[in-house]
Amino acid sequence: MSPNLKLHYFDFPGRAEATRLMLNYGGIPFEDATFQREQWASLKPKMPFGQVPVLEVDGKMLAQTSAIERYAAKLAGLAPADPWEAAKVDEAAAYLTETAELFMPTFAIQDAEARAKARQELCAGPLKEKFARMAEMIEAAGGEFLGGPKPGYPDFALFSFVSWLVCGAVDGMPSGLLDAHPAIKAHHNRVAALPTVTKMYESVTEGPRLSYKPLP
Amino acid sequence: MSPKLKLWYFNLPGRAEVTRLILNYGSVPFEDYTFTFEEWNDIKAKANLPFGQVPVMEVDGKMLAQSSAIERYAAKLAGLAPSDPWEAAKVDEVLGFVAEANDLFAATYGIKDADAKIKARQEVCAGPLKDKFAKVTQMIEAAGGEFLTGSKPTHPDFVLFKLTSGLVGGTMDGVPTDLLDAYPVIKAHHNRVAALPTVAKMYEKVTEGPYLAYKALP
Repeated sequence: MSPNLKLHYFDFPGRAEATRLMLNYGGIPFEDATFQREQWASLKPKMPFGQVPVLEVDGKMLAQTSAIERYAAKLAGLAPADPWEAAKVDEAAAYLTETAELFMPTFAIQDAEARAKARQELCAGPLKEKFARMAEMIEAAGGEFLGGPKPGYPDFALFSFVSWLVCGAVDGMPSGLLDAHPAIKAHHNRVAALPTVTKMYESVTEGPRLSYKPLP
Repeated sequence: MSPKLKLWYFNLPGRAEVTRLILNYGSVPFEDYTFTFEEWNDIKAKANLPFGQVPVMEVDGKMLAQSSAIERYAAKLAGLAPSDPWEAAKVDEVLGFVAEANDLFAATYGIKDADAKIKARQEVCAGPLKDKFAKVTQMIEAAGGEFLTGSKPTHPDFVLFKLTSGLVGGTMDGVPTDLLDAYPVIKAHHNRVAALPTVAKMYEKVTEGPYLAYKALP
C-alpha cells in the first residue's frame, strides 16, 4: 500500500511540478499542500532545510527536489530495476538538470536589459546545443520519448523545464523559441497529451500553467 | 558477475574521484583510464562520447556519461545503494544537500582577476559554506557522529570527503589549507574516511601535491 503523501510547496509549478506530474501519471494519491508566498515565513521553520519542496511521507519529512523526484518516480513505477537502465535514466535526468541550471545565474542579474541579453545568448548558444542533443536522444529512442516508447522521469523533467521556460515567468526569453526546436516542441505536446497530464491542466485558462497544455 | 568497467577521465580527482573512491571501497574492479589535457582533443575526436565530455564509464563496451549517474551506478555495484525506497530517498536527500556545497564555488572558477577570485572565495567560506558546514555537522551528529547516514559510509560520505580534500589541498586560492580546523566534526569525518582501508590504500604512495589532502589531515 502506498504511503500517506503530502507535498509542501508554493502555489506554482517551480520545483514541485515534475513530482506532481509523476505521482499523477502513476496514479499515486497525494495531498498537494500548496501555500502562498505570504504564508512562507511561518512555514519555513518547520521544513528540514528551511526550504521547499518537502514531501511528507507517513509523517516523516523528505527534502531536496532530486530526492523527492526520484522517490516519486519509484512510487510511480518509473524507476527501472536494472542498474544499467536506471543509470541511463540518471544520465538523461542529469543532462536535464545541467540544462535547467544554465538559466540560474541569470536570475541574479538586476538590470532587465542585461538579463534579457544573457538569456538570449543562452538560447542562441548552449541551450540550442542541448536541445539538439535531446532531439537526437529522442530519435535514437524511437522518436517519442527520451528513453524509449513510454515516458520516464527525464520526460517529465524536460516537459516541466520547457513549459516553465516559455510560460512567461522568465522574462527576456526570445519569442518562438520552441519553433526553432520542433522535436522538443513535439515532445512537449506529446507529454501534454498524456491523459493524466491533460487532466492536471484541463481547468487552466490563463497564467503560467497555460504552457503546460499543448502549445500551438 | 560485475560488468567490465573502464572509467575515462583526466589524471586528476575532479569529477571522477568520488566514483574511484566508491568502486575501490566496494572492491569492484575497474580500469582507471586517465589522460592529460594535451591528449584530450585527440581522445575526444576519436571516441564516441555521449555528450563530448568526461568522465564517462564504459560498461561492457557501452558508454555512460554524467558524473552523478556514474557515481550512482558505482554505488549500486559497490553495495552502497539501499534497496528500501525511503532509505534510498534519505541517502539522496543528504547527497543533494552535500553536493550543493560544490556549487558554492562554481561561480568563482571563471573569475579572471586573481585578487577578485580570492576575495570571492573568502566570501563563500565566511558565508554560505559556513552555514552549509554547520548543517552538515548537525547531520553527522544526528546520524551517530561517524558518517552522514549512519555507522557506515555511503555515497554522500565520499562526496563530502572529496569536497573537503579538494578544498584544503592548496589548489583553491582564497581557501586556507587549515579551513577545516574551524569545523572539528567535519575534519574528523574527513580523517575517518581517509582511514578506511581502501581509501588509505589509494593514497598510500602520495608524499606531496594536491592528493596529500586525501590522506589524514594533521
